[in-house]
Amino acid sequence: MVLKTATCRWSGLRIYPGRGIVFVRIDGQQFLFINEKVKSLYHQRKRPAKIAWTAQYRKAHRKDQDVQIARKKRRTTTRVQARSIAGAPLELINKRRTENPDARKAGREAALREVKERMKKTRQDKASAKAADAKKTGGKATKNLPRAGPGKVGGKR
Amino acid sequence: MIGSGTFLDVTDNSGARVVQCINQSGTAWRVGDTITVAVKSASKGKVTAGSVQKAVITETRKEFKRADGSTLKFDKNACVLVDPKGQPIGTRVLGFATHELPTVIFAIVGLGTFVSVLMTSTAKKLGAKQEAPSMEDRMKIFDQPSTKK
Repeated sequence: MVLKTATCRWSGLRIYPGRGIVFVRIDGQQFLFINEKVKSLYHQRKRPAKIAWTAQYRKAHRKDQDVQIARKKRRTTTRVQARSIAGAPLELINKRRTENPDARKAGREAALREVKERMKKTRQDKASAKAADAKKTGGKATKNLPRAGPGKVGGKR
Repeated sequence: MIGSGTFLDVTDNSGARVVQCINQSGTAWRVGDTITVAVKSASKGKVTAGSVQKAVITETRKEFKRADGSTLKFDKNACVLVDPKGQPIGTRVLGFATHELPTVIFAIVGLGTFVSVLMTSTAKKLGAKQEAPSMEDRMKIFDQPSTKK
């Protein structure tokens, strides 16, 4: 059988069935007191927040904080959620995360190969261009003209 | 615990304001008991000051116990006037009402009164309500025509 306990209106203590007194005030407000001591304190107009053993006082002076904090810590679990950052939108992040390591490796190799081939091609083009130039000018070496451009000292990051 | 000579407030609209218990001393009476009273002061109504009436005690400062173990007490001693047969003289109970009162009195307890909480199942069978009605409900009673049973 499950018992339904009430709470004392003044002290905040738990009241089991059969205990306690209900005081009905003229304005209709009902006060459930756990015992004569609490009822007397109420009629003396004492404030529960000033009496050290009441629930109100303990709450105001943060007395059971450790237990509560520990309980809170147990409950909160950090959830990892993907967020897009500057330079990598959410889709890209998710794609990278779900990528197979082998696929990634193959992709990297393919990209590397492509870059190498491109470099090779540009070198060949340059070489052939140089040869063509040399034929035109009759073997004179062309000077490397200094590049004119904005000074890149430090630069904006 | 109302005894001989106790002054009680009248919480119905019969006209009386303060009554005094004039029963023989020796015993004390509790909520729900019928006593003989002398009307000490009255306003315009069915009852005049100086008359002798019967009354049913509705509230006592002395706490009273219930069968489920709960204890209840009020802030004042109050009663409701009845005729010798037990029928209420007034048409409304303006104070508090508990299920210890005879059903006849409970019938005139309308939306205009509070009914104390922590009631037993027998009280609920009689139709007692758990919560105090809202202010709007309480003001409605003054718009309705009185229904005297």
